[in-house]
Amino acid sequence: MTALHDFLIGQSLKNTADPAWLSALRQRAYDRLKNRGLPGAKDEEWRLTRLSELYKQEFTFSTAAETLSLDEVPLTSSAESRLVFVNGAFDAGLSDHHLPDGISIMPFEQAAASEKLALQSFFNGSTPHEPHGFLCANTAFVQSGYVIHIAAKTIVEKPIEIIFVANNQKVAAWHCRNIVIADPLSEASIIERHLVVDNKTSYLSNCVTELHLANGARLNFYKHQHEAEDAYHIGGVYSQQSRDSHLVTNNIALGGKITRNDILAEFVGEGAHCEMNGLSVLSGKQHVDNCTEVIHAKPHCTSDEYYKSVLDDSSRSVFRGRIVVAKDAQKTDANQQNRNLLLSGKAEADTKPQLEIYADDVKCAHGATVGQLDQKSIFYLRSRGIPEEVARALLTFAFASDVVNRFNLPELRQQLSRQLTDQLLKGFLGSIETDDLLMESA
Amino acid sequence: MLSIKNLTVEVDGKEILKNLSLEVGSGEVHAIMGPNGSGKSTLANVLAGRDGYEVTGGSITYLGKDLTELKIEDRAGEGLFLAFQYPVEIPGVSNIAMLKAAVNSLQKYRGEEELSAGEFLKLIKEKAAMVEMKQAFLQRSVNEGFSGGEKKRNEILQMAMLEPTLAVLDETDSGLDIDALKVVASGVNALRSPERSMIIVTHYQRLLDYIQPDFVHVLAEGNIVKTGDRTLALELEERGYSWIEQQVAKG
Ligand SMILES: Nc1ncnc2c1ncn2[C@@H]1O[C@H](COP(=O)(O)OP(=O)(O)OP(=O)(O)O)[C@@H](O)[C@H]1O
Ligand SMILES: [Mg+2]
Repeated sequence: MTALHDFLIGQSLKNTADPAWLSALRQRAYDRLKNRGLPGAKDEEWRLTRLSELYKQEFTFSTAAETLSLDEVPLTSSAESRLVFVNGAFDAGLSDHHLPDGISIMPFEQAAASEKLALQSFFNGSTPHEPHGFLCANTAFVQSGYVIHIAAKTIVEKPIEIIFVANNQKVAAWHCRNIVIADPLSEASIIERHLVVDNKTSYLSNCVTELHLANGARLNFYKHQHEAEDAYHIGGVYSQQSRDSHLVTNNIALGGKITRNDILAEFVGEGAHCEMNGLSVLSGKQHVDNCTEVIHAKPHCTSDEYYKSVLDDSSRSVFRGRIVVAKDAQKTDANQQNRNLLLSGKAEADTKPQLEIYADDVKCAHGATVGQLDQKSIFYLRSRGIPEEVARALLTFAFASDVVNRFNLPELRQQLSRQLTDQLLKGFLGSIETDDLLMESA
Repeated sequence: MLSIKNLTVEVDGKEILKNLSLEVGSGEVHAIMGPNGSGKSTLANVLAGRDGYEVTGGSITYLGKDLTELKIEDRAGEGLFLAFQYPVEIPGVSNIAMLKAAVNSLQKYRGEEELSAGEFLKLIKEKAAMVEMKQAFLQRSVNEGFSGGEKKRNEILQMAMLEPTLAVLDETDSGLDIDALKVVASGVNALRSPERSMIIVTHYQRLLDYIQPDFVHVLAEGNIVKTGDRTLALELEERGYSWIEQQVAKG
């Protein structure tokens, strides 16, 4: 077994505040982790993501954070409701929530104890029956996270922002579990950010989010990951959608050393729609693995998946797109696109669509591309006097911002575009402003 | 201004231009006509420096410099502009961003200050009005979803913004209705000056009613086979190209 595994199973499961149902789940997950270990090169779904370096490290518990002021937390928007977690622990001082009626937000530990929320009927309700080691570890050792409950018919106008920030850590690990319960006909947007104060810090953030959408609920969910250079981010977004619900998950990965996300959507009611957008912009030796899965268990559901990555230097992207259409899921309409842009000869993209269709009256389309910038476009821009490297940067920005343009929050679109311009057009920008680069949104 | 001598160009190992010579002086407007596939766009692309167009013989001298030695963007820096026969669509790059990048790159190339946001805005408003292009087009992706006529007008807008010394217009009039044609022609005429030269590739004499050329050349099978004044264009319109081809065959 590995150092990380030993460290994990060496942790105590005792938590006196736990309700009985949670203790039982922890124990079961712990046993499974102990018996089966963490995923390795032999597991098909992990084969292309090498974790041996992570497994060798001697981990410690995350240490209590030094006090942080909100100014030190990068990239916060003007969201009114904000929860902040520092090194995986809830920070009440940095959190601020002016909540409209009909919505409650609280840290996981508080929610678990609340009888009114009945969290046991949601916890692990959207995750697979045969969880992998990291998911087991997340269940076994969950300390905090956020729980959001949006009551029926509540329309939350402003986005809710959750910030996980890493501060001054040396090989620490934490496990957060987030659960969103969207009652019938409710509507909200949630931004989950993973940021770091000082880029020179190393840790493992194991962060799992569950989204439970009741009939007719609408949710726009953003996971914006910009972890430290030496950070491992392993987690996922697991959703379960009831009848006529509408979910958009946006998965943006810009930082981190190795990032692995399991993005799962399961339709358990008819007429539901799920859109999955993904964008990774990587350089150096960064590695992002998105393991996506859409389960069309019911008829008349639609899914639209759009994942893109921009890969510079020796960075690598792994994309898996599994779509399962059950036997009686007739009239399913599933679309999946994965596009990868290689900016360097050493960058690598692996893309693996996996369609399992058991119904006959369905529409399923998928496409995957791995390519370079369009030569004709480069020539066109250069013929207007634009130097080659600027032309390339403009086209790269265009490729990436195409995903950002799909986001429903104008403020976030702006912010991410600005970040992409900094990252991709650094130095070339001159007097070109981000606003000039933005398209009229459709 | 431009001196092409005995130019031979290969594309994919196939000789397209054969021993072509052309002299363009300051302030002159040259029209090039000729059948499909005769090499007109090839000539335009070679001037702009497109990859894959290999000069295997002869020379191109532009403002005293060997043009083939210059990078694509530096040719633009030196005042060369090509309005494409088929402008590419560039999803995600807005017209305004491209124009700003282009204008400022040229300023930089010439060692001049970049335009301020205000100056740029003033300039683009003026030029967009000239080609009757709505402001909304500026915020759209370059040529994406533009109609044929809108694409051509966009080329003229770019030309007006970049104020080239030598403009090559490759069938900018093709597919335009008469109103759009007038807009394009007035855009071109507004730029005419004793310091600025133009090469206008067209199939239609009609354009030359609006933009009066000093010379008309006929390009056939990779070479200029006849040169005349604007009456040649009228004659071509009436009689087609075959009589010239016959003349050439007879020697
Ligand atoms: N990439 C290429 N590979 C091989 N042949 C090419 C290539 N590009 C052009 N050609 C050939 O070169 C010749 C000249 O083409 P060109 O586009 O210059 O003609 P043109 O005079 O502009 O015609 P049109 O009036 O139709 O625009 C044609 O026979 C064409 O098929
Ligand atoms: Mg042509």
